[in-house]
Amino acid sequence: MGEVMKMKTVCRSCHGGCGVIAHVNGGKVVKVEGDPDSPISHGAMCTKGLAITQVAYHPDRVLHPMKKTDKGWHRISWDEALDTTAARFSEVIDKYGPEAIIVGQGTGRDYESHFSRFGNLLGTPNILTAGHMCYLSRTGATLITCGNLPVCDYENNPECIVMWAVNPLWTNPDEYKGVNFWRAYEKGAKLIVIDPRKDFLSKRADLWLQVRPGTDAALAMGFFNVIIEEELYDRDFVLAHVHGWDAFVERVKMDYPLKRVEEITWVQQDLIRKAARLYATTKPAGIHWGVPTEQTNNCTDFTRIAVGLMAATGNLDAPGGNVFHVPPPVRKVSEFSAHKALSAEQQQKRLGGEQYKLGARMTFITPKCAWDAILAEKPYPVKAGYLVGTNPVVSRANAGEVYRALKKLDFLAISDFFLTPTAELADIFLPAGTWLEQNHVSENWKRHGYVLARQKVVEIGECWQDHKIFMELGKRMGQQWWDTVEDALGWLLEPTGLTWEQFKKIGYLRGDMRYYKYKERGFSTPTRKVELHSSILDKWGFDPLPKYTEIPESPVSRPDMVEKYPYILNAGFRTPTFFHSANRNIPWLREIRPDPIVEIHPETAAHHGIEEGDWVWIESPRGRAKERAKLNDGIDPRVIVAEHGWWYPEMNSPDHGWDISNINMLTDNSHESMDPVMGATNLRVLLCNISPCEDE
Amino acid sequence: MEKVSLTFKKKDCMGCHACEVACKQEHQLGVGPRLVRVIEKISDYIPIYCHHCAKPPRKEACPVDAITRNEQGIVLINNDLCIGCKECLQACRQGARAEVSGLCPCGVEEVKKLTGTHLIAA
Ligand code: SF4
Ligand code: SF4
Ligand code: SF4
Repeated sequence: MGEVMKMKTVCRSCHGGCGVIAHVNGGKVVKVEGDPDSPISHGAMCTKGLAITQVAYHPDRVLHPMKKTDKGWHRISWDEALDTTAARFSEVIDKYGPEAIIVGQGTGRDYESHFSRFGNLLGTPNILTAGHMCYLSRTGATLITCGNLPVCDYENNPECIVMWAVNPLWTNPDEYKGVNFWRAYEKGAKLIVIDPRKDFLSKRADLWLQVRPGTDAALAMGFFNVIIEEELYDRDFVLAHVHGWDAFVERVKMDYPLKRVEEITWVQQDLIRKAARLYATTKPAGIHWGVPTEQTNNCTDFTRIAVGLMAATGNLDAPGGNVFHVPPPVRKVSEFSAHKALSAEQQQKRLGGEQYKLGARMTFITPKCAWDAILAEKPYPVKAGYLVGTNPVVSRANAGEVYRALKKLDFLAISDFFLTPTAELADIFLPAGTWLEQNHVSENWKRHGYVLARQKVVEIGECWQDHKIFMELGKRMGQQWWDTVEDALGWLLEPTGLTWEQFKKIGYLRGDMRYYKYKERGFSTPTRKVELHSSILDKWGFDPLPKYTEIPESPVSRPDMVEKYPYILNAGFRTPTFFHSANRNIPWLREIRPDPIVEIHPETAAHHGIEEGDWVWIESPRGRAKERAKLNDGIDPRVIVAEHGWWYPEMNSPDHGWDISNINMLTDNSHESMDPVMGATNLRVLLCNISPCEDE
Repeated sequence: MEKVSLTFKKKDCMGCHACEVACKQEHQLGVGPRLVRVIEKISDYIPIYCHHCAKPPRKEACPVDAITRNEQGIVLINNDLCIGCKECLQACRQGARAEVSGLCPCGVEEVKKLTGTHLIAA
């Protein structure tokens, strides 16, 4: 046993970016612990990050490139893997054009800049990410409304926090970590929680609004109704800085009287009134919102109304409200991504680009368009794919269609850690490095005002960090890249005057934060104001004012379905040990959560003869999935809550049980069910029925 | 010597389970043994851990006197003496409740460092 060496780095087992001290002994990481000096996580780590050694040294991890033949997977060299991939892509480009290749990622393991650059230089506009319904969609909606993503400013102690469809103590720590929220809360902030489930936060809350799943936009309009009626808004701000206020007020008064909002959302009028008053009259107040609001047809509009609330109450870019963080002066992800390299002609070929204009502007496509292009070859054929750290067979809507589409591709290359059900469909497997094996100016795409040094702690097998894979594959296809990963990082850092080696020692950089920036230069929108009436949406021919649109499959919109599918399924429940479809094979984490869980109200369960711990079929018109019942009297009896992301790595067949407990067997990805501007898929709210599994 | 004790503020437990994984990592435990365990009873989270009791029932139960309590107030198990009979687990009020599989041997400072959480106070 040699000496233990401690190295600082940054976690990426989820979007969080928490600071880590890795203990290395004999070239192996033996332990990780939280870095108390991290400016964003202050020493805290969650289960996922703490279990990284079980990911990195997992016996099933693929440590060398492989190709699939009739006889199964075979080890090959990096040269052969990259040459084959480049050759197959070139064939497709010659025959069908670069748009016939889709380049996709999942949540992105902090290589968004390299991923986009690769796609742009390849010449394909068909970039497939989670962005159509997660984070990028939130960002896109704020860009057209107020020019930037307004982040809840925990650092400056909001006096009131609205936790809207999110629990950062468990999951989804994008800009904000649970620890930052907790510190502000412990200092005495009032807490309003909007959540269909009773849980730790809703029990702590001053006010808990148990909303009907998917109706958040209507609830936000209800808040506005109170704020307008009781004149709780910041008149000066609204006069000077809001575009379209009068038209918006008209809509709120006409279409969202509290009685109607109560009918839509199931939240009592007086509770909406109390919550709106508390938020509007406590200064400063911040709204922290999460992906469930994005993963419906109301994706863009909910975010636009939430921004409206921040603006109308004078909390926008105010300390302790929702602020625009100033990034440090590193080169931006967008510059690195070389979006300008993609010709106008190619941009016009973006699948679904004409329809989902805001999604197209954010440079992504909605997955449905990719599956249509593969399966029906409409509007043109897509023949090949390169998927990086993503498992769409489990994580995207209408999983059956996803599986059929990926199976039909002429050629698929995958980069990942494990042979997931998606990876099993590939022809070439490229072994990616975990965050322990990555050098990167990390978190550069985030809007919290920091970049952090993720430094390579170890190398494992023949794995490469994805950045290097993009570069080396790109160079084989004649693309312009740097010689080494670190040279590219040097270019990113150049404006700061630091080299990569210097930055690693410093550990992080923060931009010079200033507040109320709009006072000097307005907001970065066409009118320089907060656009409640969006001039961009108007120009594109969409409704310029935000509204609530009924969920496409609900008891309200589809009463004809209710007899067969009487419950509202709240799909996509997340738990702290897993990051979407990841970690089901990690012993420490799976031990805590061995089975997929479906939460059912005790009355509903009794009606179906279901008891705690029983296996239950959950069924929609598109398919079914099997999860284990947990009785929860903290949900509405009309609502069923189910976990997402499940497959069974322990099953040895190549499909690894992708279709057994996969809630996306049930979800819909029809164009009618999507957000009309963004192309956000409705992964969250649909109609279902339940029944006990007889065979268990 | 000053006494130390490990206190979980139960009402603040939000069910993140980080303490469980930190403990597994610290003591290089695989699947099976759980020195600390967080029970989920919708919608409560109950961390079960060694209370380092003043009169540990486990100590009494141990047929070979492998369990002692040191002057800092920490209940310790001597692995060399332990014969693996699990009498102590039966006897432990906490353990019996939640199949917690052993004693909790760390000092409080270590625990704070391990989980980095503000939730665990001395
Ligand atoms: S929250 Fe995310 S980044 Fe932080 S330790 Fe957990 S997995 Fe890692
Ligand atoms: S670390 Fe703390 S909050 Fe998390 S489960 Fe353990 S006791 Fe509960
Ligand atoms: S104090 Fe030590 S033994 Fe006890 S739960 Fe924590 S890490 Fe495990």
